[in-house]
Amino acid sequence: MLIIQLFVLGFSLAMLYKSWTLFADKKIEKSAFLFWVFVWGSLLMSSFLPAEVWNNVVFSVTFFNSAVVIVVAIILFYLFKLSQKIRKIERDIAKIVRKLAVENKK
Amino acid sequence: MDNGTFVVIPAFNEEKTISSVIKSVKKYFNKIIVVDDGSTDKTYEIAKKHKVNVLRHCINLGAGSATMTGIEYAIDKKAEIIATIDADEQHLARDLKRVVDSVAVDKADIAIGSRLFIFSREVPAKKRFGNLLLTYAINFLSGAKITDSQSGLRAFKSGVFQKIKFNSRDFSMSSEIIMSAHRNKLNIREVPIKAIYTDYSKSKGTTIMTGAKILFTILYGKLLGD
Repeated sequence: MLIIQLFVLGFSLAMLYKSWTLFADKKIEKSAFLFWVFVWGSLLMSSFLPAEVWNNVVFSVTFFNSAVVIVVAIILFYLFKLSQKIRKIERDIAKIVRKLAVENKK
Repeated sequence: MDNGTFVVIPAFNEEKTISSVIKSVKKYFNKIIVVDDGSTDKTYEIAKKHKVNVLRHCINLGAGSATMTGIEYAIDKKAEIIATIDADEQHLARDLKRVVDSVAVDKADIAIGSRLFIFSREVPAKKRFGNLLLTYAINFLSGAKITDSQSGLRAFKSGVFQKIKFNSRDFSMSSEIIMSAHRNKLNIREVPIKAIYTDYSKSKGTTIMTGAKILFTILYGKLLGD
């Protein structure tokens, strides 16, 4: 097993654990939890590929580039969705705070 | 005293200046709404002592939200004209009166107090440059011809808020108001005003970071048609 495989294994396990704790504490929704399980699970599985495969396939320029592009695209898409959600939550909080300010005055 | 005019003073941690701002505005207007935007100092308590309407946000939302809260309250109280003034003593109350008169007498839909940055030597260079940049950007994007897009001294006919839409919770509200007003072909007038820059007021208002954020918000809103 290569050092990079060990690193990927450790990192993906840590991230899976983190995703689980966030889900258990109801800080993320089920859909978000499943999304992250898929992302970190895929990374975890890839760490079990034989060292030859890592040397010949994972590090081959074409595959690596494609993988990076796909991962970045997924992350960006998720960030975009997340930012939309945060904006909505911020708007809702502002509405509530402003409504309370006026109602408390009456 | 003009009974149909409400003056909104959004304030966040302005315990040093809120009292004198209220006193000076009281010389010209008797309907004052202070919106304490989640201050952690004595702003709320001090404002309450002046027996004006004081609304309080339980958390800090930003100047835009605080202004909107005050405007909505004024509309609810059947205001005919709604004016806004900063709480950091940057503006003179007599300038506020002139800005309000531009709506009340000259029949503008919106009047904005312009600090005429190009000519002013009193304005710190950093602020002058930032404001000019934002103003050019807003004029370019909206087609408006404004000389001070970030002024906190404004007056509105209350009816314009049926047309003007602004969602910004921070200082980008000023830009959004101008863009929305211009889109709706409202009559915007600028009134030259004097700005007082003390060490205190210099530390408040739009910084380079806020300016960059405003620019980003305007472009983002323009791209998404927000």
